[in-house]
Amino acid sequence: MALKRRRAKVGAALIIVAFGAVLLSLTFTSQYTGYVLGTVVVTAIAILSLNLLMGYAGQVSLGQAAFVGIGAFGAAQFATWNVPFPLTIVLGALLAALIAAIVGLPSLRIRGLQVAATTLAFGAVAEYFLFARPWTTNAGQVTVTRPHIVTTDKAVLLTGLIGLLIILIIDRQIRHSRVGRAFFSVRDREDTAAARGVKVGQTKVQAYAFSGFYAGVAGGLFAYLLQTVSPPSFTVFTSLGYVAAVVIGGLGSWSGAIVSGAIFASISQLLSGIATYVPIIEASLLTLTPVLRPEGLGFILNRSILIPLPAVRGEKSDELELSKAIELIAPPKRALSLSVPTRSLLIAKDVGVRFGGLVALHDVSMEVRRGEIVGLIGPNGAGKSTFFNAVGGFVKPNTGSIHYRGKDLLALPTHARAGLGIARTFQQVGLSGPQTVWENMMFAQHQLAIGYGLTSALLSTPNMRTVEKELQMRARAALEVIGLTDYTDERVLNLSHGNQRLAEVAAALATGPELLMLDEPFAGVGPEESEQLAQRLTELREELDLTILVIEHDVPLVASLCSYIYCFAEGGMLAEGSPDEVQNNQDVISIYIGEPIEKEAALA
Amino acid sequence: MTAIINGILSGSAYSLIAVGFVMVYKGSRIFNLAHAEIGAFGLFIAWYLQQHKTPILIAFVIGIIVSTLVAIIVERTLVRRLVDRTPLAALACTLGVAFILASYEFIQFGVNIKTFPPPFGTFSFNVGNLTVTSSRIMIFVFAAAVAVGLAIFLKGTKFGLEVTAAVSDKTLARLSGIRVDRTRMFVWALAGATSGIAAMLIASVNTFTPLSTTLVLIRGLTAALLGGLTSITGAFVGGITIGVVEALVTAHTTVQGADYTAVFIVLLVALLLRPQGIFGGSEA
Repeated sequence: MALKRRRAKVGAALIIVAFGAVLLSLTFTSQYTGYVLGTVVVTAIAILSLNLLMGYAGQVSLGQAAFVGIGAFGAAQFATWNVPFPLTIVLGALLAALIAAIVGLPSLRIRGLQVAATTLAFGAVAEYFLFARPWTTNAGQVTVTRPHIVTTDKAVLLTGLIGLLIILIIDRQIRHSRVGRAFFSVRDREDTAAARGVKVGQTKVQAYAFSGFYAGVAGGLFAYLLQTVSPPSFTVFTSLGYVAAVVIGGLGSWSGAIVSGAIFASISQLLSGIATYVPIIEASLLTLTPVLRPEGLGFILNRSILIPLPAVRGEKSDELELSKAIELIAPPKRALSLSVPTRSLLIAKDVGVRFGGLVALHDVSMEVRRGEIVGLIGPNGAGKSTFFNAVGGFVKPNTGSIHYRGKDLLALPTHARAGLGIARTFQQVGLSGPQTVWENMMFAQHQLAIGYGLTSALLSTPNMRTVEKELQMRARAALEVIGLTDYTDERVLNLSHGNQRLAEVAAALATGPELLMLDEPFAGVGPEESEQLAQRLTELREELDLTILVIEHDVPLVASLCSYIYCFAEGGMLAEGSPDEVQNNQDVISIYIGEPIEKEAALA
Repeated sequence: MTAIINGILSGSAYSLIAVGFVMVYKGSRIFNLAHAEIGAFGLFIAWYLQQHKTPILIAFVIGIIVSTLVAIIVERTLVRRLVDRTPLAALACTLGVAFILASYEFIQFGVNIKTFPPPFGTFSFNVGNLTVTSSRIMIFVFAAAVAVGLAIFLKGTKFGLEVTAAVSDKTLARLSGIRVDRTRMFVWALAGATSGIAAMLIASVNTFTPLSTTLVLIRGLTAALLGGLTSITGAFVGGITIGVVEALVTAHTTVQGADYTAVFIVLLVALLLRPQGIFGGSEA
């Protein structure tokens, strides 16, 4: 990691050198070169805007040029109202941010890439309606008068470089704060993100707004560079070109975005001999990149020293004492509400869930007491995960009630439930595969980072740094407690399945939970490791004062781990009781012996 | 009234695009941004042949075959490698395909405005004071036939059910003897054919250039989303809805781009109020 630290420093130094070189060259290049470099800078910022949206937050915009255009027309318009110079760009960018957020609004309600269609449709609206109206254009174009401090192309280039630098700093602050971590976790796993307290819809709209802001800055600079703003610069085709550039640059790689933006801005001039074929070359690269090299140019850059990989803090040098680690992530002492019988943490009454005509859960009642390890068993399709999802807020029960510490859980949105001290793992490991274990530890603590907001994140306030330091300590402590410190900087998808599950438990622990809900934590874990994990969980219950609800198929394992067991079958409660009682229950025995036969029947 | 009939007729063109788009989405869970362009490619080939004295009906059939082949090639060479990747990767890749086809059309055939004759001859009849031409009625007939045919095919035949099963649970489908890859290829081929038909019929009503496909795609996508993205009937109704909205808007205002704006607003509001679309349900 010392290596990575050094890389980060070298990376920063390289950026400074690059900026310095361009600045120096300003003194002896022509105004025309200044103009060309200006377009490079503007394009780079536009591509960075798409990189934030698509690369960081996993959302799509097929109409990004519209936001660049709004920034350009906005800045031009504000200039005619005698708004002083740099402020025109900022106001234009804020306008673009606002409209981008509106266009991204459907992402509040829908998952996946369907928003792509609204952004594409908006691109057409901007091209054929917004930019073609008298309020944006005067006989097809708006003239921008440069202020006396930036009269030449080279001066505009200089302004552009400053703009690029500011955007890069904002981008860095976003990546290294809870703002960006929310983006990443929404991109990779919306359900996990929500379970960790991320307001998924709001996060997506925020990404659209940020992206619109970047794009607007690019547009404002473009207006001053060109001095006339006209609709043909902001067509749907420009937007699609931006998508090509960001994909080829490598989604999520800011340096790739800059390099790719620079190439896109200058390629027609560099290859003027075969200019006709440039679009087809770009298109082929866009087609092949996702298939052959999903990391795009970022793949090459990642190997060089240009990209500081995620800053790393898993230093071996100051290893944590285990006892200290446990102290760090122990849950805050919460007073139980008086109206609840003292030992009950989670009470579910007559919970029923229906999907269309299918009954997934039928009148299930359950109680989890403080300090207990409770098992939940039953064959596939018995409704175990559905019950977890009802507690977590991913499905809405049609009947019944679920209370946690006397609070009505069903009245709370999904993301708010994390704040109550409930942490869960998912049947399909709920971690961000492409990110490192360390980053996942940080993502997980979203709810805890509540101590600072957007402004603190952008300005890197002392408060933000204190909170971040605490989160890092907690992350390290959780890894220490689970015994995964060796894998801190490994990407999750490179871990064995068992270790992925352990990492997910560690991530859940980092949030300082009171109730830990584990969905098949032993699946894919070898028998020896399973026993170790079970042993560790029992110890943690003591050390961290944890309450655990665990779904598991392996009946002997559950029996050894739990003090009370519920058995579901076909959506209903089949049996409950002590491990002995449940294991000797005739219904349970017949279900478990009968299961393989049923499975075959289901496949036929 | 005239506007509504007009809207239904032009909307059925969007329906035809949307239905194919929904097919691909149902059959491979891929947001195929190249869908309209695959059809347009067939159109350009047919147009070229027609310009060189090929009878229009033969050109029409060749156009359909070309679109089908392009769809199959795209499925076999690219989509197959992307089904297990992130949806974003597939979206970017299909966008690239659309780009390649459009750039090729651009280089080969130029930007100038082109016309394509109605494949089924020219005739017309009057409804009130509205003259309905052969190509416009043919679009409607084709769109309705394709939508009904596909709906029956997907719900009523064994192979159709396999298509849906292949997407909802790949492993289970494989275990039950469904050849997932073959099913997906078939769906893509079918969608390619409908896209080709749609492109040629739309071109026989309007003029076209290599740049006009995107605008068709926008309406097709919007129609598919209004319909809930997985419902053939929904896509059909969605297309008609857009056609009517556009026709009503253009009948009442001459402001340029007002039709796109109306479509965009309908889409935005519809997605916010009813994100699952008009016909989208819990259906996988």
